[in-house]
Amino acid sequence: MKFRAAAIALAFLANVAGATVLPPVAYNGSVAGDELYTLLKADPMFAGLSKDLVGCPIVLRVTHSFVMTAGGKASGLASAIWSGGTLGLLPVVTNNDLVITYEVLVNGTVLTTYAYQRNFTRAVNIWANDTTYGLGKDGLEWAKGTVTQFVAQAAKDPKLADLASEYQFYFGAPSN
Amino acid sequence: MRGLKVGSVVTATLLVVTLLKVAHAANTLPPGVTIPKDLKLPVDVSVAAYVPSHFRKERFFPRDLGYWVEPGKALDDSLGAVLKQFFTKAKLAGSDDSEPNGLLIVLHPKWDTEAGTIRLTFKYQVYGEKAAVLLEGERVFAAPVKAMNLSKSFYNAALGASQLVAAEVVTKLRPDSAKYPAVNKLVDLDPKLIVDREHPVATGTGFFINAAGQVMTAAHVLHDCAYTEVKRDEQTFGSRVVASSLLLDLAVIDTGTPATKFLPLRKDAELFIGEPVANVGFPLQPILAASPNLTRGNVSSRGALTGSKGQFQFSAPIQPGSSGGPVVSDGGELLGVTVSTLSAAPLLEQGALPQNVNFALDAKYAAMFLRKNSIAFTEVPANPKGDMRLGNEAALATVVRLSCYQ
Repeated sequence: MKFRAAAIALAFLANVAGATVLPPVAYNGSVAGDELYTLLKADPMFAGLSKDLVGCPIVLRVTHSFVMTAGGKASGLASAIWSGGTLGLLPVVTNNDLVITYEVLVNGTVLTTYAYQRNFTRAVNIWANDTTYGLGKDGLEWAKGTVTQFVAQAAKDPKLADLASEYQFYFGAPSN
Repeated sequence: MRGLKVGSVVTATLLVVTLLKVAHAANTLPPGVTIPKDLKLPVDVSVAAYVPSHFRKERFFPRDLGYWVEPGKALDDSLGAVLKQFFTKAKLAGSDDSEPNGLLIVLHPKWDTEAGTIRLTFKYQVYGEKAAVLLEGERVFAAPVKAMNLSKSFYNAALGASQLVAAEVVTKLRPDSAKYPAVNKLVDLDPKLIVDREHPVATGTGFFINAAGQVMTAAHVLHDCAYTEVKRDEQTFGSRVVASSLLLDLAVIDTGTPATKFLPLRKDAELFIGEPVANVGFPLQPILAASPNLTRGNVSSRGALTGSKGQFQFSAPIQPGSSGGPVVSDGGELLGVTVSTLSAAPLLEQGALPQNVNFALDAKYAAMFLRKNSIAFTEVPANPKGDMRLGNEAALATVVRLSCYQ
């Protein structure tokens, strides 16, 4: 058992040693900034993530957009009419695709991009205080889940590995 | 209950109408445009379409709307769909695409807004073998603005304009793979033919770094250029990128023409805070005349913005277009390469106006970059006996203006 545990530990260490660890990266997010930032920073690859590095050459930009679907457009219009007709007592029900996009920029140029998209139906009450950044409860939970997908893909991205290697060549190993 | 039933019927009707409209848009041509009945779409020919990359990446974030509006994506998606509809094999490609195709279509878009519409104008040329122009023209399509979905409005305008161009190509050329075999490559076309020479997408500054005529500049000046023109006095040269680093924001291009004067780097790149420097560039083109603009200042700090790497701060004034210019000591040694300035807009909101806070990449990193890429350069020790005239002359004698075209 001891041998097996040691083998697992060694395999883990080998994996960590081979993983890309990015140098300091400035964070710039358009939605759920605190939630996504905390999740990203918890991953060793983005341990150097910071909201304060205004001059950092490397930036992780996380943005969101809504893509309207044909069905969502029609039902959303009807729902808006209903909601308006009841002075907001009925919620506006919308259906569209939420897209969360992760971009790594180097000195303002996009180096690599990952986008995740899912369809959501949301009921928005215009009188209620929305704590989900307009994403809806399910949308926010899903958006947080995209962090895992992004980190897994970013870890295998040769462009990011090259960037980390180039950074080390010029500026030494990141201390984070 | 009756109200709910009426609502359901209205919703269902709107849903069906919308679905029908979407299906209709993808398969029909704009009003007044027809394809000869004997032409079957897609026609059997391979096509590569070039659109300047800055149009394909265009997007903006109106704060009032709270979401990204993406004209670039609209252009890509609509043009991609139309190409697929009209040609058996087609793709959007960059100017460096090396895949052979039957027809090469070069498209230069222009967006306008007018009276509640978004309008796209496509200027286009179609090239065949030996860069022969088979067809050229201009087509315009306007789509109504949809405040709820601006990206869709851009998409509709681009869809219509793309269909107009594609319809003209198939109608006038009646292409097929026998008539236009796949032997033409975008990369083989003279870049000067495909770019918009009247409107550079960016201008900047560079300087000769060795006698072979290689020019150092900031990498962002050359970003996505299909053709970069180098101009010194009345001479103009084409160029090719030899090495580039996004991380340092540094690049070297080759003009292929020997240079009689070039800038040496200061050995060991030691910086003295407060030492006087000259900065030369070609800012604010074409508002200012195309003659080198020299400003003077000091090395203000060895550091730059929080989190920046390899940069120092200097006070010689710079403007858009100064990027890539040399920061030169009075001894005539290169101390750094101009890369950026402190943006005034966000600080103005806080009541502060930054003055002459400019940043250059330290020549120490330029030397590392040159060694890494085996590019020849010269290093000289700091010349303590230099004076203003010597530094100015060294900078002025080596700078070139760079114009980036797509």
